Amino acid sequence: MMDDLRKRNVKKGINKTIFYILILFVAFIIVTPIYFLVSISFMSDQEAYDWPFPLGIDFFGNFSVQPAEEEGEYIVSFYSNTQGKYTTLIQGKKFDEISDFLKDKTNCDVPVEKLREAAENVDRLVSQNSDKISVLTAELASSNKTLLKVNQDIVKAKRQLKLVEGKESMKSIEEGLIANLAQYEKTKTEAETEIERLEKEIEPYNSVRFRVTKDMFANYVTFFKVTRDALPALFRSIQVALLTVLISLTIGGTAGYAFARYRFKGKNMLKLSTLFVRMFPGIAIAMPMVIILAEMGFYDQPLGLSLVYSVGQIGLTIWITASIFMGIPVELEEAAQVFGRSKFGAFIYVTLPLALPGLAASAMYAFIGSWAETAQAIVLTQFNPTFPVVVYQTMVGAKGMVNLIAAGGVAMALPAVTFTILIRRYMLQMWGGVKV
Amino acid sequence: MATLELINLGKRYGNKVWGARNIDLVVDDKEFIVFLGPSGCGKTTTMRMVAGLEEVTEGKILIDQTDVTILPPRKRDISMVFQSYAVWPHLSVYDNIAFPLKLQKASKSEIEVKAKRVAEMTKIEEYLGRFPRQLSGGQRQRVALARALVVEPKVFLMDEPLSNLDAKLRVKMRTELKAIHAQTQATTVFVTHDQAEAMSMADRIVVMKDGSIVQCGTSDDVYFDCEDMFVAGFIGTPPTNFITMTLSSSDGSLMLKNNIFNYKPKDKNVEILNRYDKREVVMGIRPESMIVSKEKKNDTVFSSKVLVVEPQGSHQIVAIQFNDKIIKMIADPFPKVLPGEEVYISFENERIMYFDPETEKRIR
Repeated sequence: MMDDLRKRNVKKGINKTIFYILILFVAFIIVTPIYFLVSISFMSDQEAYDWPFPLGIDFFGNFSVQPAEEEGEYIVSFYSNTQGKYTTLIQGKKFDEISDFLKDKTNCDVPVEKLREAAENVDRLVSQNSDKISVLTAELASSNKTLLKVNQDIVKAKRQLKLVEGKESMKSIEEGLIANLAQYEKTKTEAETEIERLEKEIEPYNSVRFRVTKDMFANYVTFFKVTRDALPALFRSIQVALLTVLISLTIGGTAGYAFARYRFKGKNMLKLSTLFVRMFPGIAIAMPMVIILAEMGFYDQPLGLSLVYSVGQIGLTIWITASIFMGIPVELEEAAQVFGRSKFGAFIYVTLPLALPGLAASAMYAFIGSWAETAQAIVLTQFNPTFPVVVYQTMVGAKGMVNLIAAGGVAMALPAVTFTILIRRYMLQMWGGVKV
Repeated sequence: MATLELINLGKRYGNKVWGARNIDLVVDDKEFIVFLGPSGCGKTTTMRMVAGLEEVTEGKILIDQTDVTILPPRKRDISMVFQSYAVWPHLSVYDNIAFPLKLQKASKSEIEVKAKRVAEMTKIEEYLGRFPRQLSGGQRQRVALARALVVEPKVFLMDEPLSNLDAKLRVKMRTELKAIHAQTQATTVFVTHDQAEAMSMADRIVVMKDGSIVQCGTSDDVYFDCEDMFVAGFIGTPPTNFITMTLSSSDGSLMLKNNIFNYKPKDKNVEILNRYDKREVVMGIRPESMIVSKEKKNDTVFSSKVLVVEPQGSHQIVAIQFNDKIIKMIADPFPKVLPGEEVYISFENERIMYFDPETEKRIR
């Protein structure tokens, strides 16, 4: 008995674990791409080189200024979290040019004053510690020399080793060479550690570091700045989406009400056929639509686009709204009629307020469905593209600028996300039926 | 308050199916009328036609001598309590009750006074600020009732208002409804399939079957003086027992016979049955009109072995096998009758009803 009980508990535990692993897996699949997209949209060009390894988003840029060997010129480096060291970005003497370059490359607005101040500081530092620096530089030079020499030795020894390899008669020479090589390698490692130590030691005396807050939304600003009419396209897209919601909800909602409340011949067949249009690929519908819309004068206009989107959305809206209206007892309307409302009044004052949550959720579907649509929009617009088309064009045009495209993508997701958050309360009610 | 008159009212669904047909009825002022019948008998259809929620195919509806047949519900001066209560979930209890008055453009103070009064009448004063989802079924029922009462309509319609309540609450509400009716004196049409409800509340019961009225009368009328076998079989628990008998006359006196017993009709029944000489008739006897005793008496008609006994506390139901049927009788609670026991059965002569087996109508 006890054994059985334990077995069952173990089995339960295993099942539970598997269940949670599965849930985590699903969450991982959903969250990871979104996280990558968002994180890269906040990265500068310089950071994007290391992508996808810097998993966290940096809010600051770390810089270091060193005097260059050329008189009056300075080297500016940028700290890379992934590589764990400073990467040289630019060498020059004109601070305003350097500042512009840094802004472009790292999204950090480094003021010219700050650069000048750092340069002065580093100059002072260098002059104050010139003795120490010269000693250290000398040591560094000698270490470098040693390293150079040992490197040459290693190459030479390896070449010789290749010649004598595998020959019985030269076995003793070979052994000698191998021993030498091992000695060289040791010297090389020593030299390298020495150089590293010296560099670290010299750093506080010949470089000045500072930290600048990163402009997080630089990519977004750039995207809207460089992309051809991104902002008007954004408004156009919102316009198209809202028009689609309006059209599909008006037509689909009234049809859904009819399907829910009235009985007529061929009702089920008709209801099913509203979904047929969704079975055709949108792009296939878009081609003939170009001609039709052009003749109607709607080509390359938000209204024309929303009309085409509505064709696909109405079917779904009918199904969703029909199920919502079915969830609202007809008695509620009848009671309103008995107590003084007309049939239409009963619909407006009783059914509509009750159906509102579901209708809102259905509106969300239409909004998202038409907001992010690209293929048909490419076909049906020319000089007035919608936002997804602009993002697509950027993607095709700006190869390699991943962070810029990501910024466009996130910008495209934002209105849909906002809309969804606004009506999230009602989402559950749509599929759970309206509880009355 | 007012009278309600239905003249040859009929409702057809599609081309053939009649939901209700040939309904002729006059409801007097202040009367409490109950439509009673099995499901699908057209009682709700008829009520919905009165309410204006169902289109009338033929006939007329008069309220206070005014033809309202084609008027929309809101212009008929009626109010209704729905089976599912139909209390608007997005309005508070107070707003639910005030809704009809607001549409009548009553003043705010007037609405408040009226709403308070009906809330008191239906005992929901303390729930006025709540929303329907915070109420139990019984409380929602009261809200629906209050809403219907507040408009002081000419005709008050109730569509199985108690059927969604549990048994105990139903009996309680029944009494309360009757008390409210006594107080308001509203002309009321009440639809139900529960005969106990109908019997206890109605001034008159309208028994319906297959879309038409079978009998219309007081509780006693439909119980003791049934118009046909349907009413006799539908009303009463257990229902009327039907026994098929053959009439024969010898020496000028009538005798009803079957394979188990003979019975000699008495008094007025003799006259009625004369026409049916040598034919079959159906004898209808209420379970309580068959007197069960353990000893043989002078008027014992036949004896039989007891099949089953169902004790009910106040009485016991004794069932016997009678040819291929089971006959149920109501006996006093004591002495206890046991299954397998031999019992002697006699009839209460004046309670026996005779029916024509072909038309199923009462022989009068």
